[in-house]
Amino acid sequence: MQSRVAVGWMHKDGNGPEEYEDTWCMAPPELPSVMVGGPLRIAVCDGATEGMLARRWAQLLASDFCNASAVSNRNAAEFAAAAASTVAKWPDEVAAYTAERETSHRPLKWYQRAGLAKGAFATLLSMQFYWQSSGSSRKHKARHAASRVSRGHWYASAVGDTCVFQVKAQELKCAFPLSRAQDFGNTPQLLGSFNDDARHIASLVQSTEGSFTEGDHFYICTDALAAWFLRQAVDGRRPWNTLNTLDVADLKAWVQSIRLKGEMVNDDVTLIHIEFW
Amino acid sequence: MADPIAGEIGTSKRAIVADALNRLLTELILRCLNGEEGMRDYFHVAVIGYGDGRATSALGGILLGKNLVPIGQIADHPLRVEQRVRKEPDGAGGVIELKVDFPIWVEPIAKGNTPMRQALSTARDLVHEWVSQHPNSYPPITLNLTDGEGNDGDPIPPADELRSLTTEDGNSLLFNLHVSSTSLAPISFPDTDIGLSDAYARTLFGMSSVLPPKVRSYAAKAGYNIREKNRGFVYNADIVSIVQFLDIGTRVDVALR
Repeated sequence: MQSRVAVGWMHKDGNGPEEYEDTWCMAPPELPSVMVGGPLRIAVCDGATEGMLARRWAQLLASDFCNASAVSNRNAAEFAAAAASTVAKWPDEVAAYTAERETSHRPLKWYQRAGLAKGAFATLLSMQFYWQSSGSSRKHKARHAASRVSRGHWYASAVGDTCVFQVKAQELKCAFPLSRAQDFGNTPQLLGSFNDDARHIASLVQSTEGSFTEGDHFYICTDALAAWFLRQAVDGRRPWNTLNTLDVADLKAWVQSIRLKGEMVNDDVTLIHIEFW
Repeated sequence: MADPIAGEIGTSKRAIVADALNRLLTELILRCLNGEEGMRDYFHVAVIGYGDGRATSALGGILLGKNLVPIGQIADHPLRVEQRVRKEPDGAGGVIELKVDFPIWVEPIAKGNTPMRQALSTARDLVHEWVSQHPNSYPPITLNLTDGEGNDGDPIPPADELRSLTTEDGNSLLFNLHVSSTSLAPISFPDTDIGLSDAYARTLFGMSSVLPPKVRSYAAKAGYNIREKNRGFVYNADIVSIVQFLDIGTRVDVALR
């Protein structure tokens, strides 16, 4: 079994692309367009609009969760421990930012000091996919087809409203962590850069797992796209077929058009599409 | 009239109003923190002072005389930044004292009349101009912080006119904070004027907008007792929390702060 991964994103209308505050990280980092055999690890974060340095915090979280050991976020306690260790790095990030400001003769203003004291916040969805290469020779494929369908296993842990959808044979098999469009709002659960209370973090985490086979598609979506996806799915409109037709350049134009029609709220959008075949 | 507020001997009502206004601006600014540089102009703000017999812009320094100003300019130009001590739980049952920046834009002024009618008329005119120019914007919010009764006529007509102004997103909102030296218990966002024995407080309650559904849901989440008809009225209590109920984007839940 092989995988193909495509990533598309679009910044919030009215902001510049440099203000896009979603972020993602994958391991292996130099992701080939086609990957033969796992594991594949992906972490996606959505930095909260409010607060300073949300993108830096989101990048740090995504990077740490992507590169953490293989078992670090399969359950809430392990996830919380990994998050707390990332929190421990945040003071150094803030110190580096403060030093950058001093070096460039732009010392922090009163409100920036206050903002840094409040911390930064982001959602996080962390996923791992494990599968075996099924080989590529004609002989192997023939033998494999005759025996059984190649199967893999996936794990996901999340804080907040960045979602993953698994689609199998034109059916939405799994929506995680949110499964209803009405559950999206402006106050998702967030990981804070000063929250090192592992017990509290663990109380915010949701975890799930499942299996996948050739032909399955996964769509990791930040909240605006995820809410659109679920609204469409409820109406029986198979939103995955729309997303399957988009490449990276198309996604930006498509998001613009959907926003103009009022079908998607104006927010940063990230889509990671993983296809197994 | 610089009499102390009930329960806070030594602090004049006008000082409390000025403090509340300065904290309100601070919280508004902190809601607009974003990105690397830390500020986006999500709001334009006018500060109308009416404590000295006139109703004019209360901003000073290089903002002197200006009406609607982008929030970033307000942030960058307080009159001064004081250091104050804030007490916080130390996590072990005790309290620690933290020094925090406290920017000052408005000073307490204890003189003259209280022309609230004129002030609300000025606010109405500013809101009218804004909604004409920005018909798609979030409806403007007017926060009226007062320590006394208006004495230039009935404030209700300009208040009604102000609340009747609309954008595509709904009616302009008027919220009132009444600082009084009577001994009534503090009240936040009530849904009735029963219990407001102060006639002027009842007038201000009647002038206050019913909280819109989203504000109600945020207020309920923050622990306020919220029903259908709660109004944006606060009596001898903290109005700064209202800033947390304004929508900007993905927000940080109060419980996560």
